[in-house]
Amino acid sequence: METLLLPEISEADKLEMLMSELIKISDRFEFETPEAQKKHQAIRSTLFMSYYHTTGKMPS
Amino acid sequence: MSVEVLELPEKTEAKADNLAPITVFENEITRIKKSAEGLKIADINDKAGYLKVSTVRKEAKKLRVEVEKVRVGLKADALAWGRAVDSKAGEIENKILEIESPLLEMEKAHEAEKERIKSENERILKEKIQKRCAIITSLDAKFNGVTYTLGDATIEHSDFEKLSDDEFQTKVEWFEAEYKVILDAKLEAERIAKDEADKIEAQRVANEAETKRLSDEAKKLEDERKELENEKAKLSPVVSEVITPDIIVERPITSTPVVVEQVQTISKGPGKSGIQLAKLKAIEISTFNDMSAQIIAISNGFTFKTEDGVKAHEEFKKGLQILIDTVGLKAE
Repeated sequence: METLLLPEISEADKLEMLMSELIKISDRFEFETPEAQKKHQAIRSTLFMSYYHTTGKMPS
Repeated sequence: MSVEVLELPEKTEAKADNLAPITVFENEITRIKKSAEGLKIADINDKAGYLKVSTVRKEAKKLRVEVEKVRVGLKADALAWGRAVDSKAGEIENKILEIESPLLEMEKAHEAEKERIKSENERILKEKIQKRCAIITSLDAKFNGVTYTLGDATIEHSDFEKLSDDEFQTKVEWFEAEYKVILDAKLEAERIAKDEADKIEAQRVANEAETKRLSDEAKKLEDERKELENEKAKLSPVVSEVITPDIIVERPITSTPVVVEQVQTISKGPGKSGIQLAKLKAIEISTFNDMSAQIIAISNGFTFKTEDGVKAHEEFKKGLQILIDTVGLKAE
């Protein structure tokens, strides 16, 4: 039987798009205080790692 | 039986005196021989010599003619006798043949009838063998030159002649039983093969339907993706309205424009007082919450259809929420 891969590929692209959008959001915020910067960086790192685990590559 | 007695002539032997009428000419032969001795014709002009030769020759001829006459005369009686014997013997033979011929005909008829019966019996036997052979071979029996075989059933070719009708019938029933077993097995194999073919055809039809279904589903997913792209395009202006430090946009939802301005105002100073830091912290908490809210909103804005996609999305959202709850800025 022919196996169609479209749904899987499409949802993988979706995940990648989601990760990219979240990273873009985090990129648009900056913080002054060290605590805020540290937490901001923690979120950004997590988003980066999620992107990497989802796509197998680091976001550009 | 009466026997006619023939008057047989007196037995006479061929004595010298009986042949005297012929042998007497031998004296003449001596004389003429003497006359002929030395006779010659010198040449074509020797008339005297020719005349002498001619005269003696003519005497010899005359003598020969006389001998012939005497011969015919002497044999005349013998010839007549021979004819009489032949005639009488012929008559007698005919009378015998009148008896013998019918008997011979009866013998010949008898022999012919025997031969006819023999030929008839041979023909009947040959037909019987052929019919019996045809019956056995019609049941698909194999022949190795001596024996016909089908499964366990066997019969030799010589049995076609030897076996009685009952014995042959028993053999036929044996062959028929073996034939039925083989035929049943063959029909069963054909039935199984047909079932397999039907299954394969049904599978092929089902595969075609599944392929079509997946193709339709793929198209539907593609339509959803395009719809999602449109939704993303709608969401993008919201995201792009998030203020960067250099851009001020009036946005009722977020306090970012104020935050930016206030941050810039506050950061311009050489140092920060406790009150300023408290204010900054409050603003950053609000900003951080705003950022977190947007992250959650974007994440919830994506939808997945496959089981793996939904699971991955749910796990991600859960992890994200935990992250924000853990890392989020809080007021002291």
